[in-house]
Amino acid sequence: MNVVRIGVVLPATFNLNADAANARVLAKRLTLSGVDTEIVALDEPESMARAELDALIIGSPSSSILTDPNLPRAEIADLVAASLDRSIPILAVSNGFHLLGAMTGRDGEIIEGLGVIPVRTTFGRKQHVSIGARVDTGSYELIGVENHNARVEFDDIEHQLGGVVRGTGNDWRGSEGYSRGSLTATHLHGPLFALNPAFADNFCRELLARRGATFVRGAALDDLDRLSLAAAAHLDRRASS
Amino acid sequence: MNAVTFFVARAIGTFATFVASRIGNGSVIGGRLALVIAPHFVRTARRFLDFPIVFVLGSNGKTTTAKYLVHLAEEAGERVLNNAAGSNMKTGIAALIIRSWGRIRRGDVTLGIFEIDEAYAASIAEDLAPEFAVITNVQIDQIYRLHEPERVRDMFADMAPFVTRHIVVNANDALLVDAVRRPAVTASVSYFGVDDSLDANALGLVTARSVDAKDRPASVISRRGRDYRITRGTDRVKLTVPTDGVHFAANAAAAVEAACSVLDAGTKFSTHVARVASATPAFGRGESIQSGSARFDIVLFKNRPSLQLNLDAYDEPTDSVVLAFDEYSQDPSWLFAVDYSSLERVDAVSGEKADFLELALTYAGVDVVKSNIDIIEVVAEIDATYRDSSEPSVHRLFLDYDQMMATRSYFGRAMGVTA
Repeated sequence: MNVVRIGVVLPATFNLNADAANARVLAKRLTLSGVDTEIVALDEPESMARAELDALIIGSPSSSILTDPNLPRAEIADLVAASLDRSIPILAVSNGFHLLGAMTGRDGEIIEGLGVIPVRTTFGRKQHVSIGARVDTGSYELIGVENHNARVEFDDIEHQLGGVVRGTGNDWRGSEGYSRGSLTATHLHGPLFALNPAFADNFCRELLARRGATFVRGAALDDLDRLSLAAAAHLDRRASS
Repeated sequence: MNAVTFFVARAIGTFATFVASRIGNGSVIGGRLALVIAPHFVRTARRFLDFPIVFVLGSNGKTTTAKYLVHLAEEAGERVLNNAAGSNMKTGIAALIIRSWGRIRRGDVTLGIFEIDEAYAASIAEDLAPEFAVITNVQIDQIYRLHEPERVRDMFADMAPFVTRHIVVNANDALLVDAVRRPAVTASVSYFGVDDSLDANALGLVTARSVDAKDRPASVISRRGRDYRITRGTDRVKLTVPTDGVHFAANAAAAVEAACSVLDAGTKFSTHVARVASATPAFGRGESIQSGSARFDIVLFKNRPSLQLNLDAYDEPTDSVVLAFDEYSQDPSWLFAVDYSSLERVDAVSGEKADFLELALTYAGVDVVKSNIDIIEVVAEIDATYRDSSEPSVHRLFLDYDQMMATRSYFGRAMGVTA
């Protein structure tokens, strides 16, 4: 099988909470499972246009990046739309998630979103921080950290990523994230794949299935996953303290 | 607030400070009590602070910069009042005033140099109307509390209008430059920085984009080993930094530029630069402890940029490397954003977040030999293994504040000295 290529959008700036590290985590898990992997830094508009990818990571930039006139919006929009068309698994985190839809700023101003998903984000003045936030996707429970000032709305609730077990989520009404086709979008930032091995393995399974291959977990992942459990337990303790 | 309330608050704060000192803790308890009794205690106290005040602020390097500036001021003959590292919120400032009331009333203070937490900067500045401010940088720090760098930029922008005379900021930091170039800021502004050839991006700034070089009176322009060259106007002199690392050179440039702005104009730039070399590094940063033939280098970190800068600053081979981290940073996600490629292996991870550290290091491809949440056990084992060896050895300990205190305490006990 050819090398699996994991693209990371603007890794230097879309990395406020180490979200870009999800590519490294994914690559390590695939490598330990016998799959050759390459991380592709999409740090120029040209690299986005010509990228041949098997997975795409869109981390969270800080808020000023969302209004930066130098942000290559058209190129990111084309990249995401093409990836959705081709069922390439995408992980979008926090502001990287909000950017994909339509956005309204804290003072009611329109912030130009990419409009590739039917999601509306309104930024507020209150910041929502949940250390040890938990989300039930139906298949498994995710744990992580959320830290955002967004209210996210979309029409069809069946496209939520999951229900909030602990934390704020999209709109304080129990819904978190967005899932449609090959896109998974969430407010859980940072090393989501490292903290949630089952989620990471599912992502690996999907990206290899596109290639007609099967993901066979490497035995070496067991040690890593014991560490993941310990780190997740740490977040749980913080959440309950 | 009437004077009676102020003096009652001060008296109770003084008593509480005395009691707390007798039982060995509570350094800011007096300030906390005074602010409960008199919420405008600090503002009222300003009437009695008959000396200029300098605020030192920034995501990283403020303790080091403040220490350098205190050293330069004292060398220039000033009698300085300054707060301890960590006592940089309003309660800490109130406690400092209470503790130092005798000195203040005797006229034994000619300059205040206060390290200030960014989240409290505007409020404390409104109370104290500082004459001067030095701002080192805006970096990604304590996201769970400060949320994002732009919020920190706004905190500095909210503080800057209360500074009455002069502000010194990092010219490499576009967010900071934006914060002080606003119409509400009436103080004059000057800059320090490092030359673009030294890679300002490597300083961990969120938006490294240097302002025009002519706006930078104090600039570190080149490096040879531990020595740097620094310029200001037409002066160009050698700068020897007490602790190695470009970020420490940037801190020294900040302190020198501030000294040129704040202190008696009779002292030359070159004199301040020469004097920085003999400043004591900030508490614990770059500290070395010799135990028999084993040398332990303690390197303090508190967030992603400071760990990265310190990892990148050291290239001397070591016999062992330890990383330890505890509860201080509630959200440890940033550990996954650090480039650990300068490490071949880590002999031990420790502290409450040892599991997180090991997970981040393992995904980064760095072998971790051992994990033990008790840093004292980790250090004691290395000490026992190496201190009586006939060969000298070097051990680098990257520690956050609490782990550093525990380590110093261990060596204090092991060597029979007070840490």
